[in-house]
Amino acid sequence: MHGTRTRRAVVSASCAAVAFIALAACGTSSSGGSTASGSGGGLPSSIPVTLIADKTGPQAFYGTQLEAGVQTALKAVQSQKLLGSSKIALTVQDTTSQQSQAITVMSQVIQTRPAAILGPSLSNEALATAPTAQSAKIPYLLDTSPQGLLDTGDYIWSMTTQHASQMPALAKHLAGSVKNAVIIYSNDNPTIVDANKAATTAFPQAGVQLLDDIGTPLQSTDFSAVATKAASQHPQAIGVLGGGPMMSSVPKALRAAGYTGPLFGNMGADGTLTSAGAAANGFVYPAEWAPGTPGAMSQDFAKEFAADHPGLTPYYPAVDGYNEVMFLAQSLKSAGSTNGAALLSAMQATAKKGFTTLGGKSTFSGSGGRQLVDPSIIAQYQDGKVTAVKE
Amino acid sequence: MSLSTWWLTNQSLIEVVIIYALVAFSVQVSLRAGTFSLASLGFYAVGSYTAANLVKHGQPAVLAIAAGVVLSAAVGWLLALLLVRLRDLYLGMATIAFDLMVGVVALNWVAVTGGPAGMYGIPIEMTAGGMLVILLVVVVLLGLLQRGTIGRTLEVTREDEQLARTAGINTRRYRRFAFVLSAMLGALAGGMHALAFSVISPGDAGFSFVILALAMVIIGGFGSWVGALIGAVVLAYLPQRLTGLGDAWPIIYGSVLILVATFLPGGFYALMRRGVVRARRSLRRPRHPEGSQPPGNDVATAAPNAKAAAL
Amino acid sequence: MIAQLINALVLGGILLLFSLGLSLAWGTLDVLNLAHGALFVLGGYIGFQLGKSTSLPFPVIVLAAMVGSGLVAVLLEVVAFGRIRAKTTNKRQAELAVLVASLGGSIVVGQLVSNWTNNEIFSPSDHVFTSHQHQFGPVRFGDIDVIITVAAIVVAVATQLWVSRSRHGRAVRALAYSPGTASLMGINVRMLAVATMFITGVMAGLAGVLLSFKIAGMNVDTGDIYLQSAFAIIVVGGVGSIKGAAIASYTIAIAETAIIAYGPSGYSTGVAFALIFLFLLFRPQGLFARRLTERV
Repeated sequence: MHGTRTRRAVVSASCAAVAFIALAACGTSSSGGSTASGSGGGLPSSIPVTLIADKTGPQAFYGTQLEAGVQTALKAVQSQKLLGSSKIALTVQDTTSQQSQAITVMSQVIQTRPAAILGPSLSNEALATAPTAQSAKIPYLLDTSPQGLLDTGDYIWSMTTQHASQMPALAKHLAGSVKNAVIIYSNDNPTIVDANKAATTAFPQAGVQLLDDIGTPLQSTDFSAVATKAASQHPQAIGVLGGGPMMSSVPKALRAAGYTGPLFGNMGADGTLTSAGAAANGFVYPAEWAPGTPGAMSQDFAKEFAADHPGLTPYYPAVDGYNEVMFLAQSLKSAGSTNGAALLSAMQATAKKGFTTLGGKSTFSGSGGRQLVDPSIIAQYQDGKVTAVKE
Repeated sequence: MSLSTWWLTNQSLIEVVIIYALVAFSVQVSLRAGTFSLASLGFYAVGSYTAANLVKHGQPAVLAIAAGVVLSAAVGWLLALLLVRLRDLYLGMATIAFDLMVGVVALNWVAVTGGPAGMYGIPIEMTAGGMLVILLVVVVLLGLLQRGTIGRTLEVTREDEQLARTAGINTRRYRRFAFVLSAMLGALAGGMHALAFSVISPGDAGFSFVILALAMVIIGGFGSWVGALIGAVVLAYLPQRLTGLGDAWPIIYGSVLILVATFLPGGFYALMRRGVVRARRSLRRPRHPEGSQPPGNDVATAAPNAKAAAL
Repeated sequence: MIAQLINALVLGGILLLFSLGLSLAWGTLDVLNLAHGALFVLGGYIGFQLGKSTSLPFPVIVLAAMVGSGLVAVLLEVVAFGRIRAKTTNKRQAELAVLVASLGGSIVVGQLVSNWTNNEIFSPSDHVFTSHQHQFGPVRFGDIDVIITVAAIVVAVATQLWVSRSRHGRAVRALAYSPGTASLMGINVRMLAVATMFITGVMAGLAGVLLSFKIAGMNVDTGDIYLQSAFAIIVVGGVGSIKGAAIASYTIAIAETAIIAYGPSGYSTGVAFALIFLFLLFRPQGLFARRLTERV
């Protein structure tokens, strides 16, 4: 009797051991990054992701766009079954465009332990909330790129192209047709100040002499004096670097001051020129995407976005939202897990391989290779519509 | 939810409330003394940039914040001397102009303030626990001040300056004291902001924060530091709860301001006190038949509370 | 240089239109109306909305914007300011309460406009009114510039005449001097206050709608910047003084324009604050003091 029991025990133990080893082996192989299997391996069926956006308040334009882009991307991820049977469950939080609110929201979001956090568009909100995400070791993908953000740590990623890095492409495009220009820029916004500094180097290098560099407060409303000053120097082109209402007001003031030549600017012109009407026709600026950008992904995006959000035109914050969700989904798929460290290394691998965004093949640069650099599409505004310029 | 989870989740909210509370105290102290000074927000900027710079150069947190507070006290004293002749709305305007000018300096003095980009990566030296301790100390001091001779003198100065002067009170010195105290509280709040949130920018103490500070004190009630605290909690906590309402939230907030200013000039604090008075009164005299309460007694019990609650 | 002078003239006109209303409310009713900026933006919004959804002609749209802002100002007066004035005897307390109520009004109106415009920039359509440019030698200006300048002068002169000559105007001055005495004299203080606030709202709406036709982009924040400049104008010119407001408006406009044209253009907004501060230090009653009463 003793012997039989022992034998049975040994047999069952061996079976169990074999089964266990077999299971473990299967588990490892399917979570080892097999992208072809399509089942995502160790991913849970519901992946919690939180979006912290500036949905209300003065910067609501960015938050609304960002959320729209994110939602469209989520639907695309679903329909393409990028994550197999797993689904991203999105929670959206509002910062009301206030730093203190963003900080409060962030500490609550951290407690819910999402797999990743998609961050807001305001630089002071990003800077204040990044340390929290870093210490919680949760990947934090932001829609703004202020200096010092990426130094917070390797879990912090900036998923929007810095305006300053787009200046060389803009300069190159203009050098084909103009020899000199005047730039008007908003001198109290750090992103624009950086962009302006980059322009003052890039333009002369491309062969476009800068006759004048005029600073003006972002919140100014009457630009007649600035426009007169710029137009009186008779440049071959005038640039407007800024964001918000000034992007429409300055072109209008320039036309009223008698300037009839070409206009150019930074990505802040995306979505802000419509008010200027005919005054802004022909305005060119570097963008992350514009209707007419070649590529199947680009055309699909235009169609899907129009279907999901009728009446809303996608501008760069929406493009950022779409791109970052695609990037996250790809990384989740190759990580096969929502574990912070695993997801992070998958993100780093995806970034190193080169990642296709709506604008084309993007790279990552900057501190730790976590700053997205989109290929610069040159966009042009004409009669209420923005289209990509064929180079 | 266990206490430790609640603490972790709401830590940042508590930190924000404490900073708001200190700012509200700074405005309340000056309003209660009859000086309509909103300059404490300019000193908030002074305090935060001073603390940030010192900590970045390796100085300990306590010294950094203290330096900001002392500097603001000195500048505040000078400012009070300058503005001594101004009253009411004129003083309010001058102090708002001061705040905006500080903002312009913060924007342009790139070497010290980092210019438009502000300062980031400030070492985090403040914890929510530390901030709570500071808040308690401040509250105790303000409470003592309110009840003590200085507090009562300030109230008389506010109510009727001529009478106060006749009684031999050097009203100018008391007003200056309130001004300086307000500046110090603002600087303390700013220093804590820099060391708790690691990033400051020129817009932090801008026009909208000035407005918010005023709103906190009015809604909460400027009769006492309790009112200021109520206002701070309401305005730091409510936006959070109401974001579900999305776009309608500021409309509610604005309407509350209008209603409180029109119908409840003492703020929620006054409402609370009236409730306490009524409760006390009904407990003390449970059996007086209707209409036979001697009016004299009513005035005697009601007057001190009304006076404190009204303005 | 002449071009910049014309710019300063037009800017001064807008500033004058804007600050006249604020000065009137403060000087006569002790109302520092922080909602004035929101009323200004509301005027611009009404112009934009009517231009988009109706085919009303330009003058009608301007009138509608004026009346719209005026009515909202009356609403604030009836709901809040008037009640506070009636209930509170302490002048300082009343001022503060009115200030806070106006702040609430500014937030509510601002948020409504923000909702209606999806927080985006808005500007009236070109088909309502197109400003044609005219050039005579070095002098260059558009139709809208003429309209703004003329409107500012007409409104300023009309207000001055009204306040100094007409019966109602004198009643308003009595109200400013002493509300108690005014009502003893048989002046219907309430109706007068309502009428005065209506006029301040009308002026704000006019300034807003005219500005929205000049610049291409207006949004909710536009009002706040003008509010800050208006404070400077009132402090420099003296509360309640129309002559003072006019001189201060054009002076500040010239100063800001000059700094942009010849100096460090980034400091143009600093001019307003510095002026406020300097004047409050050395001449708090402004250039033309209407009341110097400092209740001690």
